[in-house]
Amino acid sequence: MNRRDFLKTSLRTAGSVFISSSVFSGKVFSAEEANAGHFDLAAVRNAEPERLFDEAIKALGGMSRFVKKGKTVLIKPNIGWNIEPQYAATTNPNLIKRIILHCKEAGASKIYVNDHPIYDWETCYQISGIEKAAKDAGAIIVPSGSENYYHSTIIRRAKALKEAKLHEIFMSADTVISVPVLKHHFGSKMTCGLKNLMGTTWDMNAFHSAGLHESIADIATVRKIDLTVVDAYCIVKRNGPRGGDFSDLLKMKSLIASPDIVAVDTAAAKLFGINPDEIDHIKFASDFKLGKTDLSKLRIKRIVL
Amino acid sequence: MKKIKIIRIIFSIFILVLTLLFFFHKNIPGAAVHFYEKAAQFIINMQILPTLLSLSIIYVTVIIFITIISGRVICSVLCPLGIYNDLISRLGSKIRNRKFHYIRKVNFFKYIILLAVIILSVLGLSAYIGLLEPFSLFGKITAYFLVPIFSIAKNAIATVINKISGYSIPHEDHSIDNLHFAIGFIFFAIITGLALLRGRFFCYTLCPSGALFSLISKISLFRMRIDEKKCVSCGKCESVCPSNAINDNNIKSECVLCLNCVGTCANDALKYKFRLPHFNKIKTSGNEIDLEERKTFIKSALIITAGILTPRIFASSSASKKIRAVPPGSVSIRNFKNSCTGCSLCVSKCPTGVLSPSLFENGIDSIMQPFMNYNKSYCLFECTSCSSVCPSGAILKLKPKEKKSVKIGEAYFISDKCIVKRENKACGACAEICPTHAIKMNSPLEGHPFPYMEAELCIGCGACEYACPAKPKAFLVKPLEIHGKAKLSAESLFPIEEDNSKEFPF
Repeated sequence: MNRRDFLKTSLRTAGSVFISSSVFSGKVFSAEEANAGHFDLAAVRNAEPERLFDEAIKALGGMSRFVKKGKTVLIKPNIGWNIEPQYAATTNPNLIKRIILHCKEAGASKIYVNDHPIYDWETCYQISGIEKAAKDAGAIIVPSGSENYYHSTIIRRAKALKEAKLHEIFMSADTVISVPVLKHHFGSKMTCGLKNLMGTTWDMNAFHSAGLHESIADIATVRKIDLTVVDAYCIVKRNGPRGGDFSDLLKMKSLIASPDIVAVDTAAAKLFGINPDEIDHIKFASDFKLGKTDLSKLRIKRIVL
Repeated sequence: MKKIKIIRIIFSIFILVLTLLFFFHKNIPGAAVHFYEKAAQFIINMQILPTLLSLSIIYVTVIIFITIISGRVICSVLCPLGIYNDLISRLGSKIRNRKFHYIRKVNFFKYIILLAVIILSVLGLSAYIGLLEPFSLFGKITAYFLVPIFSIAKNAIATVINKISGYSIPHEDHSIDNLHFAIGFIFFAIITGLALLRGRFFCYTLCPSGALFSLISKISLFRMRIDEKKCVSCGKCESVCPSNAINDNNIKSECVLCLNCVGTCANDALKYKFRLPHFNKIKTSGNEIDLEERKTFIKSALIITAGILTPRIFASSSASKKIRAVPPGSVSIRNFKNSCTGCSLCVSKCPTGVLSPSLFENGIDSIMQPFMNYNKSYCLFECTSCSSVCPSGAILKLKPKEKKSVKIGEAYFISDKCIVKRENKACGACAEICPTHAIKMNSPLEGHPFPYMEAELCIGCGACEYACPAKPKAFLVKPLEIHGKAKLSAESLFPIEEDNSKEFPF
C-alpha cells in the first residue's frame, strides 16, 4: 500500500463513518438544517427595507454565498426616472445602501452602482437619492451618459435582439446583483428582475422595435445574474412605470430575493397580483432555461416579521 | 501703468477662461448654481448687442455708464472675442517680429455694419446680426468647434485617469453634427488668422459693438491721451497698437485700452487721463472722413440695405414651409427669430442635446439659430437651462414650475404607424416617457395596451417622438407659432394605500 492508496482509503473510511453516524443521528438530512444556508428564494414582509434585506440574505446563506472576497460587484438598481424616492419609481436608496454594506462585509474589492436611466443620468442618480446612498456606503458611481461605455455584443442565444450595446461594467463585474423595484408597466405588464436588465444597454428603443418581451429575455442570457433582490417595499400598482402619483402606490413592505431570476419574477408577479403566465418575458426566459417558473420546486423561506 | 497692464491681461484671461468653462459645462437641472456660473452669466449679460436686443435696461445703462466714464474697457476685459484676439495678436507678435502700422480708411467700415445691424434688428433678422456680433461669433466658434474638441479631449483624458481611479471622471458625448463643427472651425480659422496678421482687425473694421462703443467713447471722461509736449513722434506706440487707434500723435476712439502702448513710450507721454469731453474736437475728428469716404459709406449702406431686404422677402415667401419648434420661454417663433443672434450658449447648455443649431432648414431668416431637434432628443421636463442663460431675450426666463405648463407644440398620434397596431408588439414607450401623462394606454381585454392622447396636457416636449420605436414615427410634434399653456395633470391627494397581509400569494 503506497501513500496515495492509504490516503484514499482513510478518507473513504472517514467519510462513510461520518455519513453513517449522521444518518443514524438524523442530523445532516434533517430538512431544516440542510436548507438553512441554501434556500432558493427568500420572501420577507412587514419591516423596513434594511431589515427585510438582512433577513432575506440570511435565509439565502449570507452575502458571502454570492460575493467572494476580493471580487468586484455591480449593483444594478432601477434609477430610470428623475423622481424622488418616495414615489417608488426607482429602487429604495436605503435598500441599496444596505446591500452595499453587506457586499463590503463579504469582502468585495470594488462595489459599482450603475443604471442607464431614461432621462439624463446625472439628474436621475441625484434625485432618486441613490447617488448619495451609494457614495455614503462607499460604492463607486458608474456613469452611463456616454456611448463610449457601451460595447457592441452579439447575443448568441437571442431570438429577437441579436446584438446590443452593453455597459462595460455589466460585462466585466465578477458578481452582478440586480435590485429592481416592483412596478406596473404599460408595455411589459410588470417590471421586475428581467426587465431591470434593459438598463444595462445603450439603445433601449431597440427593445421596443425588436419585440419587447423577446428582447428582455434575450438580454438575460448574456451573463449570469448572481442575485436578484426585488424591492417591493412600495410598489407602483398602476400607471407605471413612471408613477409620480401617490394614489398609484401600494405599500407592501415586502422583499423577495433569489439567485434564480425567473423564479424571483414569478414570485414577484404573484405578489403584484398578476398571473405570471400572462407575462411573456418570464415565459421566454424560462424557455431559455434561465430559471424555474414552478415555485413548488424551489425551497422558499417565507418570513413575516 | 505697467502693473495695471499685467493685471488687465491676467483679468482678461480669467474672464475668457470663465466664459469658456461656462460653455463647456452642460447644465444639470436641479443642481445648485455655482458662483462661477453666476459670474459667467454676468459677463454674458454685459455683451451690448444681445443685451440691447433683450431690452434689459439695467445692463444697457451700466454698460453705457462704464463706457462714458472709462472708455472701451468692456472691449478689452469683458468681450471674450476681443480677449481672444488680443491673445492671438500677442502670439503673432512673438512668432514673427510683426509691427502694426496705421491703416487708413478702414475704421469707418464698422459704422456701416452698425447701420446694417440697426436695420436688421428693425426687420427682425437677428440671425444675421449674429454673424458679426462678437459674442455670437465667439459663441458659435465655442459651441460648434471648441465644445466638441473639449469633450473629445476630456473623454480621452478620462479614459486614462479612470484606468487608475475607477469612474472618477464621467464621459460625456457632445451633440454637434459635422457640418456645424466645420462651420465653427471656419469661423475659428478666420478669426485666428485675422488676429495673427492684423491684431484686432475684426474689432476696428467689422465689429458692430465696436462701432457702438467707439461712438460712445468719443465722449468718455477717462481716455488714453498723448501728452503733446512729451511726444517726440517716434511712432513706437503706433507699431504696437493692435486696434489701429494711434495715428499722428492722436489716439482715436478705436482704442480699447489694451495698454500695449504704455510700456513702449520712452518719454512717458501716454497717459490714461481724465478730461471733460471736447465737443469741438469731436466735430473736427468727424471731418476727417473725407467726401470720398462719405460716398462709399452711403453706397455701401444702400447695398447692405438691399442685401438685407432680399432674405426678408425670401423669408416671407417661404413662410408656408414646415416650421420647427423653438424652446419654452421663446413666447413665439416670431419673437425667437427677432431676438436670437445664434450665440449657441443654449445649445452648449442643453443637457439632452435637443437644442441644435440650424443652417437654412428653418427658413433663410433664421440662419444658425437653434431649434428643437426632436429627431435627436427631447426637452427635459424639469430643465430650464436655455431660458436661464439666454442673453438676448430670445428665450425669456422661466421658473421650473412655469416651464412645466408651457406648450411649445402638440404631439399627434398616427395610430396606423404604431407598432402595437402594425406589428402586434407590446410597447408603450411613449406613455412611459411622457412627463405630463398626456399619453395614456388603454387596457383592452385582448391584445396589447394601445396609446391614446389627452392633447390638452401635452406640452410638445418631443419625448414621445424621441422614444417611439416605429419607423416612421407614430408620434410627431406639431410646433406652435405662439406658445400656449397646457393643462396641468391633477395630482390626487390620496394617501398611499397599504397592504398589511401576513402571508405570501406563493
